[in-house]
Amino acid sequence: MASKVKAKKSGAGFVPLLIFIGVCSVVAPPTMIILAGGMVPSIVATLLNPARIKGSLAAMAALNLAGVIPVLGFLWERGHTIDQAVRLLLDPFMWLFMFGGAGFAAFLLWGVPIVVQAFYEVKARQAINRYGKRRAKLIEEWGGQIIDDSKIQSSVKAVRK
Amino acid sequence: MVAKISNSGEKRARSNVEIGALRGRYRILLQNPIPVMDSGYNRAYKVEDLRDPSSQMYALVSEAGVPFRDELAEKLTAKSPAGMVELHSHGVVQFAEGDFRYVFVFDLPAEGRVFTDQTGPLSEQEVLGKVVPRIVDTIIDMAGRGLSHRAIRADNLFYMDEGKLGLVLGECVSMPAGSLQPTIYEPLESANAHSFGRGDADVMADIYALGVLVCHLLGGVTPGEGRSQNELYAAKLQQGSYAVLVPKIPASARTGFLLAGLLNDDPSRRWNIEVLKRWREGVYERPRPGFGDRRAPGPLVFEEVEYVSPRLLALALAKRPSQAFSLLENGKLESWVRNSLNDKDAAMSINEIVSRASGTSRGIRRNEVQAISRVSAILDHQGAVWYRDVTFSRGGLNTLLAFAIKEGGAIKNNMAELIESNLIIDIIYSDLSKKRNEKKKEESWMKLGLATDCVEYLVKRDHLGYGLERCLYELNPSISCQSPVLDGAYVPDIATLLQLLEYKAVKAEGKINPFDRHVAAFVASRSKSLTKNFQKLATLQKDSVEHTLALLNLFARMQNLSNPGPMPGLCLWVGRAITPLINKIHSVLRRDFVKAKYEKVKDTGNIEKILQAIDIKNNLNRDEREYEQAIRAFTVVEHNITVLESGNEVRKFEAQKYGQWIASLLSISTLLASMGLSYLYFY
Repeated sequence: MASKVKAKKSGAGFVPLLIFIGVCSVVAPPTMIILAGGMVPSIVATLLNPARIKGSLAAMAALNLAGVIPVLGFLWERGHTIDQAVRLLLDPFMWLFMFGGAGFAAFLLWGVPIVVQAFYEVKARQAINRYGKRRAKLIEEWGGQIIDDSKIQSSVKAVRK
Repeated sequence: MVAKISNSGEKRARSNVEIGALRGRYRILLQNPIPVMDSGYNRAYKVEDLRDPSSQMYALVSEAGVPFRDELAEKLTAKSPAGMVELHSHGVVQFAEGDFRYVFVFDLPAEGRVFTDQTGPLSEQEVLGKVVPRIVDTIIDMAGRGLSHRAIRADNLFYMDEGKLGLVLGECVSMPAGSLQPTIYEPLESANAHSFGRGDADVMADIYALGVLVCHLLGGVTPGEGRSQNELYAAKLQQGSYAVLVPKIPASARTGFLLAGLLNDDPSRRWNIEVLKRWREGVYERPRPGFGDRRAPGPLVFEEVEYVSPRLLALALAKRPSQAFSLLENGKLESWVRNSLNDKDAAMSINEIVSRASGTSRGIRRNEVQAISRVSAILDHQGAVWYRDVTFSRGGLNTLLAFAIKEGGAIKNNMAELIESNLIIDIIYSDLSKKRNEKKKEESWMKLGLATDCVEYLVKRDHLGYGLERCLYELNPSISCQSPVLDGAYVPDIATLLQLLEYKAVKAEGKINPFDRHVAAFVASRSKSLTKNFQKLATLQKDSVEHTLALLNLFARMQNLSNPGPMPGLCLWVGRAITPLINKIHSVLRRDFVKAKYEKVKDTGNIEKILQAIDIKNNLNRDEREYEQAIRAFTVVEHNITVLESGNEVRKFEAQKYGQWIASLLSISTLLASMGLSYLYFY
């Protein structure tokens, strides 16, 4: 039941996009050609992303679009025609623009979590050291008996629960 | 009480100025024993009088745990009767560090004993002309001061001068009254009592002993020699002492009259001081000799023997309690007492005893023995109380208890049973009611209040300061503390006790047990101001922190009350005693702090200061509270470490989520920047 509702909701999200695509295909076909070609990485990422992590898709789409926008700028500046759109798509530098953004997004999505995890690990290690020092201090002050007594107290609590 | 303790301490200090000398004058020469003058448990030694070296003296060194007659000794020291060996002084002597003994110093009878087994019979002229007048004078003198000698016997007569003209009676203070007397010398009131349980009695016992002494000296052998105590007692009850003793000796009519007066078994018919005085003045009376116990008109058959004498029957019952109990149960005894003895009160008492004993579980020998003991006390209320091997006369329980504790074994257990079972109280009640009927105000077997206290002490015997030991010290005010830790030293008061314990503690570097059952009972009986401390101790669980602290506080109080001087030895013991308590402190810091405090104040030698300084109870309480908190904190710390150490996957997942979120933010920012730059570039 929940999965059906979810599916309905995700399906509903595509409706404005399809309307936008439909309208643009009629009103501005060259723009749609550029978008269709340039946004391929985002489309592939959307189809291949099984976890459907929203952040990763958004990052991919945003950076991909950030690379497509200058190409659209060139299209509109040089003439909004299908020929011009095809010509631009034949230019490898334009592809570099559009796919470069997507590549950078992929790099960010791979690299930033690693950096964050490293930061987390450092923080955890510091906390463990801090707790270890506190533990050693407690043992130093109260003797090794506190280890056994704390275990006994924990087991007593567990039994009570 | 404080003043009393301090005074005794000062007295002790004064009396022990010189090692091995009594009051700085009589030096006791332990290297020169005089075995011939030994008295019971007590050993005799030569004495050197430091003021008069020509005088001949000897000392009796009292054996630890043997009671002596201190009140009599006090009176004899103040004024000695002419016919007695003079008691010059008595008191505690310190022979070495920690070696205190009680000593009596007497004139040494240089010419020896008047009579020995080898002497043979003395002539009647010698006995009546020399011995009897001398002793009668001594008895009259002592009776005038309310004293009784209780050691008038043939081997306690001495010649003091070379001409053997003046003879004297030997000492009578170093052992319990009558304890060294052969059984035959004891009147019926104490003839069947244990030698240590004969009691002080009165002058009538001395007069009776004089009669036996005359028979002994004239006959040349101890009268009744070879017969057991019970046989002699039975013979005296059957025939009367006169009939038992006199026919066997060559005696003139004059001597016969004297002996008939002296040996009458009824104290009210025996010659008294007035008659003796008249006898000394040459007025000779012709008394009728006694004929033993009263006789009932009809006999009672017990074990195929007919008894007409209630006291003889009491003796027979006591010898065979199981068979006697059957006689009791079938009502024959009650009926005989009611009809033949015509004693309705006694019959009612016997009836009550039977119903009480039958009410409890039958077949238990203890009930039977106790019932027979009660009945014996009713039938023979003038003789000694009997209970198994415990027999004692009026006023003899205290000294017999001292003997029982000194010797130990069955007699000690029986003594405890006698007191704890309320038997002694029943017997005293029964005796007092009889006395009321007879309108006499004599003292009973012991004071009822003391007996009641003793029962309570035995009920609480599991606690320190109570038990049979407490009874011993309450009943014998001058007896020394019997604790094994004192090695037999004489300890009359708490001040000396502390002094000795301090010495022992210093010697053993604190590794002693200064508070065993004897020390506890001794302290409890000698200082009533510490009663509350003992009551508190009794309520606390042994080996608990509170118990140890209460014990140490008791010692601190004792030190303050009796001896304000420093006691580093006992403080070492305190240190050993509190070490387990200090080790109960969980906090290492606090433990070290308390130990350091102890080390700092232990040299003051003041137990109270140590206890105040370490304040162990407060420290333990605070430590307990803080330890609980520490355990909680430790548990949290342990939990956090575990969570952090095992949280790698969680962190990875979180980093993934957060990292992608950051990446999306950067991407959107880049998108916005791209849109902005494109707008600026192409517009």
